[in-house]
Amino acid sequence: MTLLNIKLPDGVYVIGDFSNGVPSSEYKMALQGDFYTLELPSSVLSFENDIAWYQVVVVENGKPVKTTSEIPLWKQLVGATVTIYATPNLMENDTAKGVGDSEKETPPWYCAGDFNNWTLEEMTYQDGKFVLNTGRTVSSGETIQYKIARNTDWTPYEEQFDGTSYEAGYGKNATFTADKDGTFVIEFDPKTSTLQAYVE
Amino acid sequence: MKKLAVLIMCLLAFSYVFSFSPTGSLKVGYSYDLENQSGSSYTELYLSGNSLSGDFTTKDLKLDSGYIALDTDLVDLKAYYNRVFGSTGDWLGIYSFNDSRNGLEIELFGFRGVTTGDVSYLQYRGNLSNFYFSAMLGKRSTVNDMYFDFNWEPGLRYFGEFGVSYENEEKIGSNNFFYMFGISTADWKHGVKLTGVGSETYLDYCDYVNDNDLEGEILANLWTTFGDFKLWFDYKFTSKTPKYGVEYSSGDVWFKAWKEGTKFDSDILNWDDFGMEIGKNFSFIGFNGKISYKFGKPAHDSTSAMGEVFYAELWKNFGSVNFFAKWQYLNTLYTEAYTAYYELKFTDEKSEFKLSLGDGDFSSQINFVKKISLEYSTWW
Repeated sequence: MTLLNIKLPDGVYVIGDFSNGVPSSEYKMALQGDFYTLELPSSVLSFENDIAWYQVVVVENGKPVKTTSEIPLWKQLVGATVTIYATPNLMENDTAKGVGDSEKETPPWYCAGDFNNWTLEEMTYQDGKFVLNTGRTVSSGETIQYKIARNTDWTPYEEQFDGTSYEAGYGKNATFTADKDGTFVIEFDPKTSTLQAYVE
Repeated sequence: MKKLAVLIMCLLAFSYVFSFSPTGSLKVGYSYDLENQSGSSYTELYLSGNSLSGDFTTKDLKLDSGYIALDTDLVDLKAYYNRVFGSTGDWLGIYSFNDSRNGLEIELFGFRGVTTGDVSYLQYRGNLSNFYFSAMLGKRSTVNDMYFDFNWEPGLRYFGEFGVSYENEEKIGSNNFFYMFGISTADWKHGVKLTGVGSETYLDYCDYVNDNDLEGEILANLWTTFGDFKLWFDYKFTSKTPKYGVEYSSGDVWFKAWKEGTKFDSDILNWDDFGMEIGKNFSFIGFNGKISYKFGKPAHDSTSAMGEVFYAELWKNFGSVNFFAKWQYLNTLYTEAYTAYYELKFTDEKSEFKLSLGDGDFSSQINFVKKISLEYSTWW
């Protein structure tokens, strides 16, 4: 049901408190290479408990066709500006998928799961992705739950990612079922918020 | 399991040492997520003896949180494990913890000392006749906080608080201070309040300051009540932002409307935050219910977007069986979401059994959660 038949301007936009919650030409993303990008000055962000929030919305024919969930920015890793990246064809409504930012590209990221008794281990930054080669062997058909966080004590709690939402608190985990026997690897792409696991 | 065993050993030890013949309650629950095909269990055990009490919870058979309290005429002692605790309870709520943590709390001669994680504080609460006050000295990592707050009711109510928040090594300046002063009628129906927070304060654990974005701001609140109507007006002096509203409640019907800023652009997208809500309680063929409609920005706790919320709930008692259901439809500029929750409760004098479908927390779960929960509670 369209709200009050309101028409929005077409394009890919970053929205938040800074844009009054609506798509604004000032925060319209531009296509650069593979990504829509926008450089957001940190001065426009309102931090509460060191966290500010944004969303990305894709508008076509005046209607929002894809909208992410709210994505956190942790003040401690935000510089004078933060660059937001969006890949509309990877985006899914009400998830963070397809959208990332330069704060997410800044290390460290830690990963834990039932494979290591939920002890957070630091991931390695390799070719634009954070990787954890767990060194654990898994058998085909084995299911593993895991997620990533910013600190070894899980803080800030607003930035625990399960591949769908950055607010993945207790019980919200990514799930992977091994398709073959081998060593289990976890990989996070901070530009698209893609969290995946595979067997080497 | 190891922690659970330690817990049971502790309880047995306490039972012996303190001739522990407890009263208490026990809750056992299990939830099954039909979508993810995963289940989880929880328990909560509360025991209370003459001067010793404790509460312990488990999640999936692992000890999750708990506290043990010793209350004597001289001293009260509490030890917490993974619990939300430790609010200072002053007007501004300088320390208010929303996260679970370990810690210790001791009360002696009106003094209360708390240490938990990066925070430790000492608080004194007392009164001189009908002048009630509290004072606190706190330390949080490299930050020092102190306050004095009071409430005095010689007829009208005079209340307030002032304090300072600064980092070690920092020279204290006017920007480190915060204050709040107010006068109201004793029934709170009419009043005025002024709150100021310096730009160099570090009140990370103060929800009132953070939720209202008050760092470096001065906020005035005025409110008055005429019969069934309440009118209120807030003004932020630094950002020059007014916010104002009206609330009406009479019998089964209520209505609220509020707006921030002075912009009444013809394009509603350009408006600052605003909201209106109308609702009614009703009875129909033996059922009681409530319906409401809300429109505004933000539309809902889960979003900052403009939108509308349709909400309804229904309940009825059938002797010892209670039925409850609620529904919510959220429609914003960017998303649509529907959720529902159903509950059947069977109660007798010493126990209760609850069967539910869905997740009742509509403020964070806006889409229907296919989850069945069973919960059994008993008390003695």
